[in-house]
Amino acid sequence: MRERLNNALLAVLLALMLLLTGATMFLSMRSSRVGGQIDAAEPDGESGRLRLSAAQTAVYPEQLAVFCEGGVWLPLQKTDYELLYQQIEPFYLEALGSAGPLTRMEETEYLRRMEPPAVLVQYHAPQPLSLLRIWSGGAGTDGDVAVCRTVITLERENVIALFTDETGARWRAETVASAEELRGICGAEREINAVLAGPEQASLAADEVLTDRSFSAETLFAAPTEFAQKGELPQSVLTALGMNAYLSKVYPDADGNLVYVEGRSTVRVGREGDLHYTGEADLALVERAGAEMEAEVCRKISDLLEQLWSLTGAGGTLSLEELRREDDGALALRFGLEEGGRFLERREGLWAAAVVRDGALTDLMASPRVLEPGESLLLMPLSKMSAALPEGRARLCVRLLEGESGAFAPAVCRVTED
Amino acid sequence: MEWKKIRRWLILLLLAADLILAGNIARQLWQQRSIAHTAAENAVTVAAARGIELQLEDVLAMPQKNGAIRIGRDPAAERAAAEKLLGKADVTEPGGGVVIYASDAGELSFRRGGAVEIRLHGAEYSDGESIRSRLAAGGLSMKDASVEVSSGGITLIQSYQKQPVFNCRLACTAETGDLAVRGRWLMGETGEENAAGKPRAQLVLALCDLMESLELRRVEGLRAGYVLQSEDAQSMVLVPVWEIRTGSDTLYLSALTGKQVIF
Repeated sequence: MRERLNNALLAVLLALMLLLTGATMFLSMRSSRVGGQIDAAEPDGESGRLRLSAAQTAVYPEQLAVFCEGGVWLPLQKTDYELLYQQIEPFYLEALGSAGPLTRMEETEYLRRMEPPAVLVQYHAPQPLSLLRIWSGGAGTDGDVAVCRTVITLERENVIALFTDETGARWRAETVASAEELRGICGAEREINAVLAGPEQASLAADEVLTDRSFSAETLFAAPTEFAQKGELPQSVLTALGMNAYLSKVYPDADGNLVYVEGRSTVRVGREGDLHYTGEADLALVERAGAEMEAEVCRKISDLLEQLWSLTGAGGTLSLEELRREDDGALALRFGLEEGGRFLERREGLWAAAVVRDGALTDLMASPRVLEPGESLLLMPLSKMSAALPEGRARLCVRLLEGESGAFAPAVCRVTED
Repeated sequence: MEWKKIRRWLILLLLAADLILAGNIARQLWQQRSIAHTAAENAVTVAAARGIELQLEDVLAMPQKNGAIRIGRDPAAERAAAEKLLGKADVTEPGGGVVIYASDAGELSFRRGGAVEIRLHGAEYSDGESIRSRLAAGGLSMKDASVEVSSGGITLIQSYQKQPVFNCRLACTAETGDLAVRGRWLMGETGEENAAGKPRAQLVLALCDLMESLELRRVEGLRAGYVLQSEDAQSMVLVPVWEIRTGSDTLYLSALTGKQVIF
């Protein structure tokens, strides 16, 4: 009996020692992280917009407006824009995804519906409605329209969506979005700072939302990313592009760019950090057809670009600008870059573009940059600027235009249909 | 005999080793706690230097780290709730993550982000407890849910693992003889931990940034909880947040990003 007890004690002490050793090693690993650093989900740059999974829509609005009882509110600062988008995104996607068949609307009827409670979403470039619907959990439709603007409003206690297409035509669709949610969004206390274009702004559409007071906008400087400064592409970027960092050969080309080659895939890295990938990276697309397939491709490419942006420490958020089907059946995508709802327009080159052929990414171009804030400029009210516009229908928006010094300065832009 | 001697020595050695390891673990745990405590103290000192009044006890009462939890929508639970509350109901799914159940007994819709709207014809609207019981019988989880009664009506507030989910509230009102319930409620009970939050001290600094941007100076109280955010039509995330009470405002700070959350 005593023997057994002693043997049992020995076994218990041995097991305890192994357990305590494991616990010691675990605690040592945890406390070895520098300064309490943690593995947080990567926030989207400085925006605080947390992306825990795939991008929902691949497009972000250029302008948001809320129609409240007292008037119209435009989020003019980056934080306000991001908080508003965070608040309205689920409701907006619910409305888009549940939107029924489209019917044409007369202009007068449309303008009559532009009353509170309502939310306006303006896109940087026309977006196929079928893609917006699919991303929002709805079904794509035939006879698609390209939407520039959406207004979600109420009609006799039912939420309806009003679309403006690239020709300026107005469309209406019923939705099952929550009227209470819309009232909640529009009922919050906000400082009214915008108006709808009036008769004195004849060169603008009557539903244009214009600020009625001066506001500040920040200049941004686009600096090369850390990897561009060091002259070495992170392995994680190659992995994201489906290449093996250990098997890739790297050499400089005649122009001084670094070229990584593995099999039939190459990545060319410019001095400023521009990336150009060619190859046949499988996107692992699920078998789909038509608009569903296009929506899936856009989402995958958008995810990939978001990943590249995060891995390189680049700033801003990419938003789909154009989706085009080429003669050979390939899909060509082009992306713009926005920061707080303001799109950055380069003098030369694109922010990102991709070509997908037969389910594989064959070409990808990306220009990741770190965005650093510069001075703030004061812009005069858009409602006053519009009086000096030349003839011809247009809309006004604030964008960041690249100057000769490389800085992106805020400017009021007049955007026409062409 | 030999083995007995060896065993005795082994027992003594193992006992000593176990005591040393246990002591080391206790020391490491105490050290980590001490570091976290010191970091919180330093952060509160920095806050004071920036003109933000914040009590150290409030900060120490907050979890050192709180992670996000991803939760998928539970269509089976939604169907079961509809059956219990409405009986045999017609179902429509118009898209956008919306599912609508309707019968002679009323209507029930589940939407993205946990949003729910219920209308029960002829149902009694009396006190919060009876409404809570009715909804619990209908399959909505009322574990640790609290009831608030005000002039506006009765509000049920959900908790998850004993922490409040600040935007998961059901507002209950009587409308033309019907019981109307609207708000957001988590139907799925378990989720997977997805992302770790920032340490407490970092959040104090983020709190200072937020207070300064809103020109607020005094924090009257802090509370840890969650905010339910929609991820896509079929999944949601419980984002850990700090509720900051300033007297004039109540703010919510994401423990993942250190940015303000509104809902």
